[in-house]
Parts: sequence; structure tokens; C-alpha cells
Amino acid sequence: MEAILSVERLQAGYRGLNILWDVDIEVKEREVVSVIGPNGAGKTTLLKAIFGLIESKEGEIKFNGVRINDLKPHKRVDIGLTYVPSERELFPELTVEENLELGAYTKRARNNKDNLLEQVFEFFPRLKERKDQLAGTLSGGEQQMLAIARALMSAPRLLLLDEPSTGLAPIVTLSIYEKLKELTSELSILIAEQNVHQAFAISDRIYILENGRTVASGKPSELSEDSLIKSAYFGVSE
Amino acid sequence: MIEVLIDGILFGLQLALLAVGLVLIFGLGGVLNLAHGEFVIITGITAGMLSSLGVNILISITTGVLLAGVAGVAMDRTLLRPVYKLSGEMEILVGLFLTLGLAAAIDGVIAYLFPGLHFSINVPVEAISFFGLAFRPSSLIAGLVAVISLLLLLFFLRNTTTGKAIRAILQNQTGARLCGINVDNIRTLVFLLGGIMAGLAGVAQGLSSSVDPGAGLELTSLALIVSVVGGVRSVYGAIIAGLLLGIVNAVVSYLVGTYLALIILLVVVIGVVLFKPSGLFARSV
Amino acid sequence: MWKLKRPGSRLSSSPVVLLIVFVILAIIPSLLKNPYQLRVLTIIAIFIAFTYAANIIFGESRQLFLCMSAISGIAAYTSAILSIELGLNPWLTILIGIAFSTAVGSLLSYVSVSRGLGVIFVAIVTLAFTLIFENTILGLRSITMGETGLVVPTLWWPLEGLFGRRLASYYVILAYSAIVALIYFMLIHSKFGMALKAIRSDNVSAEVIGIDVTKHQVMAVALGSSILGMGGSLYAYYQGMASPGVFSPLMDITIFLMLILGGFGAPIGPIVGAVFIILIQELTRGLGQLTMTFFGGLLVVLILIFREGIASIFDKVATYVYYSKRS
Repeated sequence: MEAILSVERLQAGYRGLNILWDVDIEVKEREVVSVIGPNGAGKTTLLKAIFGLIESKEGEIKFNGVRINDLKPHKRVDIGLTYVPSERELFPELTVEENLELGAYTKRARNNKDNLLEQVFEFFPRLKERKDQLAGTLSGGEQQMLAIARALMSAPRLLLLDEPSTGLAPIVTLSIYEKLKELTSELSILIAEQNVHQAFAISDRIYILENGRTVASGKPSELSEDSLIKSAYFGVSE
Repeated sequence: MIEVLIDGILFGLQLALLAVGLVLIFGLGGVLNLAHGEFVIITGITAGMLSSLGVNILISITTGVLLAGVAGVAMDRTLLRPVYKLSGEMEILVGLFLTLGLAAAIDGVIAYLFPGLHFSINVPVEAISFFGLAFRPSSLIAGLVAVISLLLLLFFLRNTTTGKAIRAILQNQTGARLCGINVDNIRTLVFLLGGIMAGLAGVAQGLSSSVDPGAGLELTSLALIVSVVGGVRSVYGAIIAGLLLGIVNAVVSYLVGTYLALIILLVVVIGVVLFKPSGLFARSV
Repeated sequence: MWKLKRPGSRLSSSPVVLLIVFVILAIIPSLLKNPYQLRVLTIIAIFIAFTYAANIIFGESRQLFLCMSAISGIAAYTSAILSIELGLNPWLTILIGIAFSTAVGSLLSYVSVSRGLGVIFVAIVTLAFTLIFENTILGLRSITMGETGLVVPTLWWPLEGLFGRRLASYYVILAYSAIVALIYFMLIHSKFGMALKAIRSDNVSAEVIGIDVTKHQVMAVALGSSILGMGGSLYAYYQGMASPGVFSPLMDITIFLMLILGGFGAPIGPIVGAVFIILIQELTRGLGQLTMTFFGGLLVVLILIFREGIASIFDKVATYVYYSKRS
């Protein structure tokens, strides 16, 4: 299978302070990959660097075989990359529908907006019910749905998801993850997650990030046998 | 008294035109544009000079307004570039000082080139009367120009994709980037719009009275006052506050004199900042 | 940019250098040929004091007050009006004027700090206050003479029998700015100065370690305002006139230019800034209104390029000379 995203020896961080030291990650077509690791390991930084909100200092980020290190975020959306941060970053005083419309801002998506909107509403019927409501008035779970839906409106090939379970009740998290599973027939997903159980349940492959380095990777079945990982990660996030 | 009210509404519309640009530029660029009043002066001088040279009035006005828009774009693309790389208090301070320096520089050149001149735009039409009240046609046109421009702006922000993108950036810049919106380009567009709206305020002023080239900083201060009362990030608020303050200013000036009227307005502003910093009419966009 | 680096070894922070500069400023009049040059020097001395005040209010305490001209004008007008209307001794009324300036400055600072206003809102409130001051002066034409300006009573300058009026007023004003410089120097090395520094870098943690943020911020502005009030009064009596043209927003811009040019936090900065800006102002007098353009452009260039100020360039040169001699 073709790799849609490949990150090689990536170094990134904030001015004068490196957070990612050496990260190698690959996501293949229609694959769900999770990056797990303790708080401060650099999971969010990694996603931000892939999306271009943080400049990468060394190494390569290739999307669909093309180097994208120097592309601005809006160009990355244009070629099919999208990012849902844990803060969701919705437009609180625009309606649900307006939020979604803006999700299809790029030229490529704009031409297909009505179709996309229909698909997204089909996928999240809850959002259709609330389409005229202001985004700021939604519940936490609905906001997470809207954030994912807005990202889907850009007709992405790879969805970057940061901690989709943040601040949600376990049952809501479960329903979000079930929805995500349905999506994998269409696109690839890279999730940064502290909730290890969910990550193991949904992912084809898992990377473990520690202090800005990828220290292990493999299928969930291989990894869960590893006692080190068990002691380090299981239970911590419960 | 009715004349006073009409004057107030006209002035209020001009204030609104000025303040909406200030609000948009602050919301998108993080720069409190202390050179905003200069856009009015640029338009007033250009239109006034061209029309006095015998150039067709519409062409003069259009040139003046476009020039203000171009000045806005030039500001964004050159002078203010370094500001956007900064963040927090630093961004605000550097933006303030840079635009203050620019305002002073422009004021100096204008005072040097046109000492003591005032510019007005003359419309060769007879006075009109309605219900026994005589209207100067130029004032009527000024009012129309202002109202139509403001309505167009609101329509643009409400109903076009680009307009929605502007509102989106006002609410959440990161969110806008996630949607693939090119924030830099939209910001430049907003400087263009801000310049044009302020230029139209200059047209309205040139039509209804005259543009004083030395009044740049004063106009900026008025726009600031209006935007604070309206809620610094609200276009609607700026329009309502502009109209309200214009009318209040006219009525109070008529009753107690201009100095005291302005002082009262300023005290109101300080009160608003202290007790309702989100503005009296804050509302999204 | 507005970060302060103040290691003890730096030339621009040395008290000896400060002393030498003031001694030089005291000697210069004996080398001058005409009253015009002395006049320029006197204005430099006044603006040195103003810029130290700005360095306390904005540099040390990080409050963007765009009403320094109004604060110093309040003292000047209060003193002049009281002396004219009540026939009081100007030195006495200057004290009353300073009390007024200090009270107004402190009030503005108190409301903005206690309401937790951000830098933008402090700027707007103080700018509004500047316009209120201006319009009050213009509106109360019968006692302030409006834009023509108010002719102030004659002030008796100490030592004027010995040196003559011109030189005596220069020495009094220079002594005043030297005292202000000393106050600033003592301030930044005091517990109070350290507290301001802590508040500047992070006011929440400053509060946590037990610093009364409001009190310190207000006190800094109170100190700055009284310096501005005294300076404004001396300025008016020196000129023989108080006018809205002098105490105008242009004065605020000039002071900020001096502060930025000289560099924040460097004790010698205000002197460097005041000397340069006033000299430039005098040399470009022929430009007429273009002086404003020149200053506006200078502000832009300074902000874009020399955010650390000229004083720090002196330090670099001095360091360079020092090391190149040793090697």
C-alpha cells in the first residue's frame, strides 16, 4: 500500500526550544494510525508540525510523496490534509451550518460544497438538527462532532485528530470513535491520543512517542504484549 | 432642531464608516490603526484637488477612495509586516507605535504641502426641499453614499464566502487556518476595505462640509471612541455607536457648545472602557 | 525588545558615567556663545526629566500612558492660574499643581490597574484624557486664554542674582533633572524597583509571591506624574507661557521618541534620547511642518530597527574598544 504521509527524522518546536527530536511516522492509504505517549511527549506538536502551524526545523514531511515542509497551512488543506485540534477551534458565534460551509473554503471543496454538506449531515444527523444553532451553544460532544465534520467538509485524504476524547464523557467518546471507524473506508486518520484503550481498539498501527522521539511502533496486538508498554501506558489514562 | 439632528446623523454615518474599518483591521490584524484618519485626508485632498482642476466629479471621488484603499494595502504589505510575527502585548505596542509614527509622518507632509487649506467637493445641483425643509443636495448625496456603503459592507460580511471568512477570522484565527483560509490575504483585503470605507467617510465629509487636512489624528481618535463604545470587535456595534455618538454630539454641541460636548463624549468613553469594556452594543460582527 | 538587560558592568548603567554627563552638562554653558544655544540646552534638560518620568511609567511599570503632556500641563496651568487669580507665590502654586498632576495620574493608573485593563484600553483611556485636557483648556478660554496660551507670572529663580536669569534658570532645571536621574537610579536598585520588574515579567506570579501589584503600579505612575508636573511647571515658567500647543500629543510623541531612542531601562538612555531629539529638532527647524514627518519616520525606523536604543549601541562600541585594546 502507498504511504499517504511519511514523516522522516522530524525535528520541530518553538523558538529556541525543540520538542520533537527525531520522529519517524508513516500513514498508509485508508489506515488508522495512533500516536500515543505521556503528556508532554510532543503529540500535539507533531500534529501541528504536520499541518504546518509549527515550522519544522529538520527532517522531511511528505504528503502523497511530495515534500510539504514549506507549504503554508491553507495550502496543505488544499491538497487534502486537515487537522482537528483538541481545542476544536470552532467559530462560536457562527451557526453550525456556517461553520461547515467555511470548512469547505478551499476552491476544490467549494465546488462540491452541497454534496459534502449532505454527506456530513447524513453522517452526523445530530448536526443537521442543530444546523441553525450557534456553534458556541452546542454541548461538548456536539462540538467535537462539528469540529470533525468541519474538517470533513474540506474533502480530506488524511485527517489529523488531536485527543478527540478531551473533556468528553466516556460514552460520548465511544460514539465519536465509532463514527471515526466508519470514516476509514474513505480516508486515512492519524490520531494523537492519551486514551490508550480507544487507540488500541481503533488503530491499525500505533506509534509510541516519548520525549519527542518515536520509541516503538507496531500493530496493537504486538504492542500490547510488550510488558513495558503495559506498565507505562495502560491504566494511566483511565 | 431637526437640522441639528440631520447634521448629527450625517456625522454619525461618517463616524460609522471610519469605525467599521478600524474594527475590522484591529480584529484581523491585531493592529490598532492610529493612522486610520489619514485615509480620510488622502481621499479628501485627492478628490477635492482633482475636482477643482476640472476633472469629472465621479472620477475624482473614485480616484480618491481607491487611493485610500491602496494606502491601506500598502500599509499592510510593507510597514506592518513585522508586527504580524509578534504576539501579545508586543504586537499591540509595536503596531501602535508604527501607525502613530506613520500618522505623524503623513500629517507633516500634508501640513507642509497644503497649509491651512480645506477641501470640499461641490455638486452642481440645486437645493431640494422636503416637507418644508431645505436639504443641500450634497448633504443628501453624502448621506446616501454612507448608507449604501454600510449596507453593502454588511451584505458582504453576511452573505458572501469571503465575508464569512472575515467573520470567522474575527472569531477564531486558528480555526480559520484549519479551514484552509489564507489569513494573510484576507487581512490585506480588510485593509483595502478599511481604507475604502474611511475614504468614503472622506467623500461624505467633503460633500457635506469640508475635509481639514490637519484633522487626521482627531478623526482617528473619534473612530477609536466609536469603536470602543460599540465593542472593539463588532461591526454592527461600530455602526450603531457611530450613529448614536454623532447624534448625541450634534445635540449636545447645539445645547452646550462643542468643547463641552466633546468632553462629555470622552468621559462616556472612559466610563464604557472601565465598566463595560466589551462595548455597549457588542455582538458578533 | 522592551526587555531589560542590566548587568552591572555596562557603561550605560554606571553611576559614574551618569555623574560625568551631568558635570559636562553643567560646564557646557561657559562654552556657549549665544542665548539661543543656552535655550536649546535648557529645553534638553527639561526633556531629560520628562523622559525619566516616561521611563518609570512605561519602561519600568509598563503602563502605556498617552497623556504625559496632559499630566504635566495640569500642573503648569494649575500653578499659573492660581498665581494669577490669587496672587500666590509661583513656587507655592507649583507644589499645588504637582499635587494635582500626581492625583490625576494616580487615579488614571488606579482605575486602569484595578479594572485590569489591557494595554489597548489603557492607551485609549489615556488618549481620551489627553483630548479632555485639550478641550478643557480650549473651552475655559476666559481663564486659560485658549489656544493663544496663558502668560504666566515671573518666577524667581534661585541664584538669579549670581548668574543672571537665563543661566540661573538653566542650572535650576539641570539640577532638577539630575535629581530625577538620581531618583530613577535609586529606584531601579531598590526593592520597589525589583517589585516593578517582577510585575513586568509576570504580574500573576508577582501577586503570588506577595507583591501588591496595584499599589506598586499606582506608585510608579504617581512618582512619574509628580516628575512630569514639576517639569511641566518649570517649562511653562521658563517659557513665560503655558499653551495647549506645548502640552499637546506631539509632546507625548517626542518623549516616547527620546525614550525609545535612548533605550528602556538604561539609566543614561533618557539623556541620550533628549539630547539627540532636541538637537535634531533644532537642526531641522528649517523644514517647517516636515519636522513632524521626520519625527514620525524616525519613530517608525527606531521601532523597526533599533528597538534596543542608542545607549545599548554605545555599550557595544565600548565593549568592542575595550576588548580590541586588550588583544
